[in-house]
Amino acid sequence: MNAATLAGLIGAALVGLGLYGLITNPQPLRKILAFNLIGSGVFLLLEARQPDSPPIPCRDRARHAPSRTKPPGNGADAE
Amino acid sequence: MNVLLALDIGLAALVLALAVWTIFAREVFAAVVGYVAYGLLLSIVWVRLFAVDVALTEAAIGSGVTGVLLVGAAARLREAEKAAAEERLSEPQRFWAAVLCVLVTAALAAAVLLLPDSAPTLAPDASQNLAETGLGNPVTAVLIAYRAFDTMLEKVVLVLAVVGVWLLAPDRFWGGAPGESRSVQPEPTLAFLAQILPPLGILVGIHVYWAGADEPGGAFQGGAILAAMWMIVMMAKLTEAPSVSAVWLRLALVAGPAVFLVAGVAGIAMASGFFAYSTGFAKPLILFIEAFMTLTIAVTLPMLVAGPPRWAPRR
Repeated sequence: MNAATLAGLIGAALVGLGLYGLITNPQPLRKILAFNLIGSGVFLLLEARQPDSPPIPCRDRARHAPSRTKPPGNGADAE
Repeated sequence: MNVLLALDIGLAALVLALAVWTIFAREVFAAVVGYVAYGLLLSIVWVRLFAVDVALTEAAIGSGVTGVLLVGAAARLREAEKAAAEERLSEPQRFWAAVLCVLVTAALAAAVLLLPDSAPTLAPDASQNLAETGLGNPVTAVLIAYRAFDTMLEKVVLVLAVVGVWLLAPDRFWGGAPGESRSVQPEPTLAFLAQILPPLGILVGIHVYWAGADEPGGAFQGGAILAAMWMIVMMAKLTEAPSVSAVWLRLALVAGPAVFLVAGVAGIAMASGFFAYSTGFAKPLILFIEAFMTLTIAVTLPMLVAGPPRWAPRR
């Protein structure tokens, strides 16, 4: 299991929790909170990719996430 | 199991625990506080997924501004909520709701685990055409170049939200200023914070806007930080909210969408079409549009928090 799949699973749990709150809480403000939980859960579900899918390439992604896309030999050049 | 995975699972447990607290807390106010903490933890989850732009937005908007709005709403609704709390669902109804929600979660979790190996993605296309925009951050390119019209409409929605809040004002206060009672002395601690923080915060906000072209950041995040600085100063009562009839305020509210729209229409004459930018001039134009959007966001969010006018206009 990687971070993206884990995020998808959290998303699934959040949608369920939010749905329960939306149905059972009678106060309007609590319903809004519950609906917001569903929203962030759905957003996390969209992020659940399988491990093999390519990371989003970026011109200077190497600086943000060195572990992912560092081209071989570049580290030596920089020093 | 490596350390990173253990950290991820711990983070997931914390997020879920706070979500459970938000749903089941007895007091509405406690639930709102739980929700704010939940938003901040969620932004750490987004950092772990290498989506720093989303993390910044979640922390600033999802947790920060929404949190302030919800705390204000909870304080105002305190009486009405007690009456509404009487209408609780019966035991069996809640049981069946729980069964439904567990089924939904199980179905979604199964879908997550059974996803196909390679998801369809536009990411390669987005980064291939990045050079033409002159930007280094593909997220900014999507927001301001590829999907420019969507982003413009988003800003229009923000302005409409402010109009909606202002419409709640009684007739006699129309054109006046929003805000709390002015006779109350500012709390010393908050006033101190409101004097120390804004100079730094304004610098950080402008930097986040400027850096958004090449790094995570951008107009929305930078504008939200600037907005937070104005909110702190207003909450500490060091300054009063402006009258809703002030010309500069209204100009600032529409500046972002207006400049964006004008630039978009100019694309018909200057470039290949509606919301197209001429090659070679794209980046300066994008930063110009973003500057006005930052201004609009920095003014819109505090006005949403300040609420409808509550003082008669000065003659």
